[in-house]
Amino acid sequence: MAIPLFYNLRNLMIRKTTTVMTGLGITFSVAVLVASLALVNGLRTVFASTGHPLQLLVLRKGGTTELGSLIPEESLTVLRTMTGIVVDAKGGPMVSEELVNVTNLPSVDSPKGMNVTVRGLTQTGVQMRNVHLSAGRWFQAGQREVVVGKSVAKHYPTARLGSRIRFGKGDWEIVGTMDGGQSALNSEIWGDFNQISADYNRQEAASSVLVRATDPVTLDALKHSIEDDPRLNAIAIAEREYYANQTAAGAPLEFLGIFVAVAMALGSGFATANTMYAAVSRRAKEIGTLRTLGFSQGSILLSFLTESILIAGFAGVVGCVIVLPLNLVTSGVGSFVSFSEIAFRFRVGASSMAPGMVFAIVLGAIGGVLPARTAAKKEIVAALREA
Amino acid sequence: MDVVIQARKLSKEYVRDVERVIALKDVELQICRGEFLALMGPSGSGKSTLLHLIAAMDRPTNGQVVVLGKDPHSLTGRALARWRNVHIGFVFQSFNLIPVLTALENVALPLKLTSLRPKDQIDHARTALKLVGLGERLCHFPPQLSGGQEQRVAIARAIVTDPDLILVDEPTGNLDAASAGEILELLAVLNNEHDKTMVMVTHDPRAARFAKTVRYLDKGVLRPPDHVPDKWSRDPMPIASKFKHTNSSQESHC
Repeated sequence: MAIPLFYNLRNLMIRKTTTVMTGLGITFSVAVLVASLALVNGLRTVFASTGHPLQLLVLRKGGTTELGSLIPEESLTVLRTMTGIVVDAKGGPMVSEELVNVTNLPSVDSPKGMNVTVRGLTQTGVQMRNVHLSAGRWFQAGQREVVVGKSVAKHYPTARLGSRIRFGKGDWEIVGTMDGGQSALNSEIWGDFNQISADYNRQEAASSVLVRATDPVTLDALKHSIEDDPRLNAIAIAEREYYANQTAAGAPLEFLGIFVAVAMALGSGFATANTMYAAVSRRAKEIGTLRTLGFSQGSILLSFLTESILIAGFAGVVGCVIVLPLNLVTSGVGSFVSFSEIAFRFRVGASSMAPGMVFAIVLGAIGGVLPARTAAKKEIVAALREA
Repeated sequence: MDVVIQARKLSKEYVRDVERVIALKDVELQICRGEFLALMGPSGSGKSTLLHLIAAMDRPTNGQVVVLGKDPHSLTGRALARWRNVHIGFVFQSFNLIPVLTALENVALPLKLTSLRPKDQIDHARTALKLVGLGERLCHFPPQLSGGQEQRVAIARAIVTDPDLILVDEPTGNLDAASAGEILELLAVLNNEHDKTMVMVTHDPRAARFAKTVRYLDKGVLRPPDHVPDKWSRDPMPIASKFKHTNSSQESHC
């Protein structure tokens, strides 16, 4: 039978200052870790929400990004005639040739400017995405008009509805704001394919082509058809996979966060051990008494270990709670795939807090195990005389 | 007659710095059920060491002590801890109550190791506290109690599991004369009316007068039963005349 938990809780309450000071280190370690995980969760949500499960992104063979890819006009003709592609309401194949580039706009956080993806596409391309207008109207073919994602409108003061931005060969009027849910499309600027291609002198080739298959089985066959066709010299990647791979953009930040959390945890672990050693020393007589009453060495070990874990557990909860407001924070991270900024919202939830709590408890256990062992190993008579 | 404690050639030596110290030497002792033995002797005579060996809180260097027909030193780990919980009640000189627990919780603590339900544990602890006259101090923490009250709580904790043997180490050492008298009378009542076997260590001849038998230890050697040192043969002022027994019937509730 274990020593009652309230014995540990009251000891912690009596040593409030020591408990709080010890716990603070763990709190900050957990907060840093949870914040890092929340960042990655946010990014993952953005990229996981982007793309249609039946769509393939066609890029030049050897290309890994839309920005570094060229699909010639002849390839487009071949693609349009391939079997297994969905036909839209007007009877045409759901194939969208797109031109992707970046432009620099001053943002709220970076007045010197950040790269923003500019995408030239046709009405078919718009239809193939799960986006809707939140304000204004869609761009018209042949016009120097663009629609901006809601994150672009929010973070780039010069890119608000009704204003004009400059890229390519001149000014573009912002005629609408689009809402792509939680997807990465909120961080893009869309305009007419032909108009944007002309501005960038890229009329002969698109950056990528998006195609929609009729069903999952056909999707696979279509992918092989595209990749095996010698006229195309192209690869086809599932659109969702293409965006999911971009989660790696958060990897350096995640690594940095975990590194800082672990570095802080080392200090916190020593602080916990120090506090528990002091508790063992101060309560030597109690340890001797408990042993005399019939509590075993195992009970003593478990009791002090529990106390250490309690400190860490409370600290972990506080660490998780203090980062909860991050849920309201939207930030941006540079993507090495699109060479532009992707806006995302931190996501502090169960998937980031659970590892934080495990981290705290492991920290408490590591910090407490040696002092608890010392307590359990004390000779009864020696312990009774220590005080 | 039931033999509760049988010590044979019991010795304890330890090393202090580089010097070998003989705490007990070839102690032969037999204590029967219902006995109240006072172990007397000056500081360092080995009284407490003998008590610790009987309770298996320390290991003898040589010899054997059999308690209730069993050598507790043959037990280890949880079995030994369990043996202590079931058979031994221990009262310390400085009470050794857990300061963060109330009187009731302190007394109920040894019962956590029993199969009693939590409610029954509390009932038993409450009864023990009433028995020692502290029914109205259940929810007080040790720092809120007087020395005498703390020692009563410690005695209640020692008897709550109904052990076969109660070992008492200098129970009045930290108490004023009045409180000391009350505690000694309480121990005598537990021995006389509840038939508890007791071994009490004391260096106070007035305290020893409450015991049925007195044995003397000197430099680790247990003197024969008829041996009475000169300095303790004088009749001191009876401490019992200085106190009155208080057994409160009041009870508080947590």
